This record gives sequence, structure tokens and C-alpha cells, in this order.
Amino acid sequence: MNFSILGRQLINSDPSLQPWLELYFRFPYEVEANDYRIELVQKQLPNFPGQLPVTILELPDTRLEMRSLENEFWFGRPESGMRFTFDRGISNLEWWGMEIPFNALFIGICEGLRLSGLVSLHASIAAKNGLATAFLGPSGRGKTTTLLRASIAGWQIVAEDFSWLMPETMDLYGFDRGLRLLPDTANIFKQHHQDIELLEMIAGKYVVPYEQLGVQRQAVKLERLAVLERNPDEISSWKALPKREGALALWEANGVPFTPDAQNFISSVIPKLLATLKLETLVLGAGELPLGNTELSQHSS
Amino acid sequence: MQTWTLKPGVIETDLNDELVLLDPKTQGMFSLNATGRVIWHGIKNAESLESIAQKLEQQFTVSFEQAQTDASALIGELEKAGLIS
Repeated sequence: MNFSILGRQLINSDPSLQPWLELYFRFPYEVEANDYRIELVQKQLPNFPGQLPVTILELPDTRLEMRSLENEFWFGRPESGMRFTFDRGISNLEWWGMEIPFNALFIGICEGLRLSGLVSLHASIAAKNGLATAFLGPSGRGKTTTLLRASIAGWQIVAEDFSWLMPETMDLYGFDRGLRLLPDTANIFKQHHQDIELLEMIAGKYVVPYEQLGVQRQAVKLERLAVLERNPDEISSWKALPKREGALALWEANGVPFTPDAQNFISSVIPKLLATLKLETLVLGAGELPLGNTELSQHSS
Repeated sequence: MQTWTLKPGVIETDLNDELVLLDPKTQGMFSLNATGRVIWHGIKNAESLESIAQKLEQQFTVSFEQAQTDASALIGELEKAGLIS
């Protein structure tokens, strides 16, 4: 039941986990094999270190307790949780409980991928001519809407919410499976993509699988960061983005790793990304968004 | 001799021309220029205000008194931002 995540080996021996793992982490990208391993093992309840100080991790739909002791990181509770440890070339995720600790496992796998040299991006990504722009901003800023507008303007959708970046090549890989659209947005989008079907709704949002949109599963080169800024008093436009704002946006988009090693890795990568990428603010203001060819090349850092 | 303690978990991102400090718990960000970088490293090395001011005097065109005033002001801002105590 093992498979590759961008060349890294995910090793799992529990069939009950497999559908979930494949949904979130198995994508058909062709990437050269890497020696890094992320190993998931189900354990009996370990000697849970309940006496250690707790850090609360705020996740999109829940909160998770974390305790750390040197290079051991414990998530969850005695009844359901995960212990994360790592060494050179491997991350170990030992989990327990009748209820599978999916949130902890997701965080642990992502940390393993960061320790293997990848950078995650919570962002909407669209590409034109194989060059990608990451639209960044906190939840509710307009990432999905901007992605849809870019799609209508002829850009290729790469990811609505989540992707992984190989910083040494700037190859970016979408790691989600479809758009999740509020009903009003979905109906507007359907006016431009009349062939899509709004069938499945999860948590109040329509899910439009990428298959319906012809999204290609292939790497694109990340070229630009675009931090979204809402300002109805301005005309929609591109503006230069200060490096420090780019640094904050990248930390927000990647999330702060829980291991010092991954923190140091991301700390060292962000300056390189900022030196390489075009950094811009996309003002979401009055009028049409400037998503045509001409406007896209007006600013560069 | 007064020294300061860094808040655990503060992340540094070195952009060459500036050093960006990020508190992941609050998402608060602080950007330091070349002078601020010297002061920050002094704080990290548990140096006194006088010692930090001496370094500023040596490295920049500034009097010891002005260096002390500048360092003290930045340390106050860092304390207010919760990055040191």
C-alpha cells in the first residue's frame, strides 16, 4: 500500500487509512524517486506524556493539542493521537486510537514532506503558458474568486487551495481535486463554463472536480506571488509587493512547521524564493481584474 | 546588568537588506534594518544596552549616546511587540 508523494515514499501498512491517504496525497505526477521515507505505523496506546505543556494548534475546522519533548512531537490525546519523530531521511508517524487521528496524520505527513525539502502553499494557483501565479491571502480575501476570474480570462487552473513546491526547480504541483464554490459563485462560474455540472455539495459548497474542467496534472513553474488586497476605493491593479510582505505571505501560505528543522529549512528557502519570484500585490478594487497578457508583465521585482 | 530574553518560537527570515522577525503565535511581524540587526544580535547574545551601543558606535557613524538612545527605543518596541522580555 505504499506510494510515492513527489518521489518521497509513503509507507503504510493499515488498509483503513489507504483511501484517505490516496485522496489527499496520491497524485499522478511523474517525479524522480527520492530516498526520503514517511512511515505510518499503528501502535497500541503508548505512554502518553500528559504532563508536558500543551500547545494548541488552530486548524481550519478544529483544534489539536501538541506536546513536545526534544525531537518527539505528540498530537491528540491518550484515546486518539499520533507521535511524530524524525531522523535523517525519514519521518515516523505512530498513531493510535479507535478513531483515526486524521488531522494529526495530515499535519505529520506535511511536516515530513517539508523535512524532505518541499514547501507547501495554501494558495490558489493559476498558470498561463506554463508559468504560475500563486494568489495569496487569508481565508475570505478572494483567492477562489480570483482563480475563477483568471480561469474565465483563459488561465489554466492548477490548484484552488493546496499545492507543493520544489524550491530548487520552482516546479509546483497542485494537490487538491476540485473547486469548492459557494452557490452564488458556482452559478456565476457556470455561466462561463456551461458544461460543468453542479452535483455534489459539501459543507455548503459545490464541488466541481477538476476532471470537469480539464485540469492537467503536470508541474508548472512558479513565477509570481500575488498577495490579494481588497480595496473598493482603488481601480483593480497590480502593484509591487515589498519583500517583507512577501515573507509574511509565504509564512502564512506554508504554515509554520512544528519541528525546528523544518522551520530552519523554510526560513532558509523563503529569501531564495523572494529573490527569484516576481512579487506583486493584486488590488481587488473597482473594475475588471487586470488578468490579460499586457497587465501581467507590468511589474516585476 | 540588564539583559533580555527572546520569546520562544520567534522565527527569523534573513532578506539580506532586512531581517524579518515573525511571531507564529500572533502572526506579528517586525522588520529590522542593518542597525536593528546589530541590536537584535546583541539581545540574542545577552549583551547589555551599553555593550550593544558600543557596537553600534563602532559600526555606524553615530555617537555612543545616540546609539544608546536608538537601541533603547528599538528594545522598547520589541518588548511592546512581545518578542523579548
